[in-house]
Amino acid sequence: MNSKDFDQLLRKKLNGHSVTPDPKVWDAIQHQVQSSGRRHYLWWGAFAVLILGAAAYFLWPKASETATYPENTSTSEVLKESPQATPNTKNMTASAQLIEESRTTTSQLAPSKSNALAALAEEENEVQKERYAASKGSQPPGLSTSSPKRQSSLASPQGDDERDSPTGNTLATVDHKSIKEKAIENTQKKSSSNNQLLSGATENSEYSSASIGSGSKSKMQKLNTQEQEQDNNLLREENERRAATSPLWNALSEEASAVAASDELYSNQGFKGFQKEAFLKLERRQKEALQGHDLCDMLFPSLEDCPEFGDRRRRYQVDAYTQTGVLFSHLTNNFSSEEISTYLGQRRSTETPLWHIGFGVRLSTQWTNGISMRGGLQISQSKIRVDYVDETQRQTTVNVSIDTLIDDQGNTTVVWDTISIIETGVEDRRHYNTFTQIDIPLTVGYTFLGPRYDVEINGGVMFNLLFQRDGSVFGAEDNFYALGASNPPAGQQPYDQKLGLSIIGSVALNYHMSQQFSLFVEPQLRYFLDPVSPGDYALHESWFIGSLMVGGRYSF
Amino acid sequence: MLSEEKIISGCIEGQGDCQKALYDLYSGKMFALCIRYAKHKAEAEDILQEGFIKVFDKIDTFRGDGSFEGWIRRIMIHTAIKYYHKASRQNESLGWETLPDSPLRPEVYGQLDADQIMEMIQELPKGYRLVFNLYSLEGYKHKEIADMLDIGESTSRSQLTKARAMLQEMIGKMYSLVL
Repeated sequence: MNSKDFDQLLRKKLNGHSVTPDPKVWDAIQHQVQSSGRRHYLWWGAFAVLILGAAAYFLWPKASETATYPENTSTSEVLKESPQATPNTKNMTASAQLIEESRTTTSQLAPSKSNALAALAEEENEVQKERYAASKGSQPPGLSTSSPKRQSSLASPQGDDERDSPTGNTLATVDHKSIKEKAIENTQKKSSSNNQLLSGATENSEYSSASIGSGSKSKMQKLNTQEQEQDNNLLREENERRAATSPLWNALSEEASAVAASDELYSNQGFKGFQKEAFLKLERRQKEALQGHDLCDMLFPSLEDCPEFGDRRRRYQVDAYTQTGVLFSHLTNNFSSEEISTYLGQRRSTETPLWHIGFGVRLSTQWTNGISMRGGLQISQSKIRVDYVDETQRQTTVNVSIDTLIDDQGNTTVVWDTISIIETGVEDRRHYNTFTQIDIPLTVGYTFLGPRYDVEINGGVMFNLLFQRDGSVFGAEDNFYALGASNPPAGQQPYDQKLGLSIIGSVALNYHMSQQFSLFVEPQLRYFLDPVSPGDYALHESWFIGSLMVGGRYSF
Repeated sequence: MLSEEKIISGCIEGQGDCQKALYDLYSGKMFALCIRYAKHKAEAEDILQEGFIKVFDKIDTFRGDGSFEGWIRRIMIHTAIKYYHKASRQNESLGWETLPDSPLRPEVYGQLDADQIMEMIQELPKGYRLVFNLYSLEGYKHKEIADMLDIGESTSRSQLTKARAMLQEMIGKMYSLVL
């Protein structure tokens, strides 16, 4: 039996032979097919979460800080429980309520400067009304009323005789001090620059409490004057320091001065503590206005110890970066027909998206509240591998026996030769298509400043300026179509002339090498809003790019 | 029972019952094929699993211009070859050898059944087994086999020759009829 027969016989024996596989194989296949589908949705889910998270962050109204001060409840209770407070106690309950009101109003404020100032002016008006009412024991004519609760406590007709009330006075004093200390502690945590001022405020608070019941008005006024001078000095120093960096601070400081001036009038009448409360409130409001939204405060309103980042000064930055990533391409039918389905299969089976590389420069400006805006120019290139079978021709080298020669002695010599012949068949081929792009990225972001590391969240759009295509793909008419033709016939160009608009999102980690220079790594996702194929083309092709940017940043 | 056409269209849409129907229809034949290429049963199961994953993933590219079974078969063969590349590569380069005519009487072959042949093929060294499967049973040319396995064409020929010789020897031992 020769080789051919041997092969044929075995082939015949094995033809149709079947062996049942273990059932666990199907279980494994099913699991893998399902998890493959889930992975696909996970990618889109992660992208959607990123975009929604960025959108929610920028659009979310400022969260209430009421939860930061649980003492508010006790303040209200004190106000209810102490209807017979003495004038000093009244001052304190009014101060406590001022803080409460300040917090409530703060929670309703928009982060913009104009809103902050408008709300500030309104509050100050309220403060003056309260003081006037407290000092006169009744509401002044022509001033609008504050809340009924406040009126009942502030406009109490009780005089100095009831100052030493053992229940209301003690309870109100302790609670007020507690609130004040909390406010001071909170402010201390928020700003180390206010330490000096706050220590003065604490002393003042202690003194104010201690002075209750002393009956020595002259001594109290003297100490009030000293403390006021101290406060004014501290305020002036703070203003000078901040004025160099923030026009907003200047504007708010003017408001603070107005409060201090009005307080001076009332302090002469023995109503100490207002300017402290007002100043603390303004301090807090100034910081809030300067910082804008704080993500930590927003997400964790009950957390008193949110970390404080950086100096929040206005910055300008220049970035230079390179990027490497992966291109994802998705092909679907643009029209429903059997021919196009076949063509779709042909394109899908032949094309494999590969890497994406690029470089770019970016200019940024970062405001004091941490929000930044970036714009630049980026040049990048995507690559797609095309593997296909050429069914038209293949070149094959074969050995051909030319002849068998027999010499005189009867020896046989076989003469061989190698020739090349062209025969019809199939041949695997491979080439690469390149897509060069020039884009303008525009993003807005938020920066969490740190002493050594910054974390940035950026989101925005990318405008395509140039889209150059090189290579060839299977055409819809079963031919190879060269990309980048200048005047392609309608419906035959597989790619658009421009890529259009894409949305981008990224998270960057920035490491400071020095005051000016830093290095950053930034994973970025880019989704093309429009398909990269023309609308009249047989197939609909959409792109998605995931890349990692690495670069340097110069700040000035 | 679903027709092959409906099974295919259902698989394109990702319907689980059609995928199961397709698997039930072809898994037996394909597993037999995988066993011939694999070193052992576990490897054959791996090849079968990976092959069917590819089938489900690429089924929308099936053009319908050939038999569907042949299309699946080619996927399984390429998956098996991929496994071969993962393992050590055979890089023998032997000279041209011709297979002597079989010393076995023709009636011996008639007594062989498919399972016995499968067992013997599995006992072949890996390189021999692949070349024999591809050339003798699947009908590929030596050049195609050489390209697929990344070996020389002469290697493919020599391994085929040795595979045949070993099979004949095994058959002979089985029946103790070596002449």
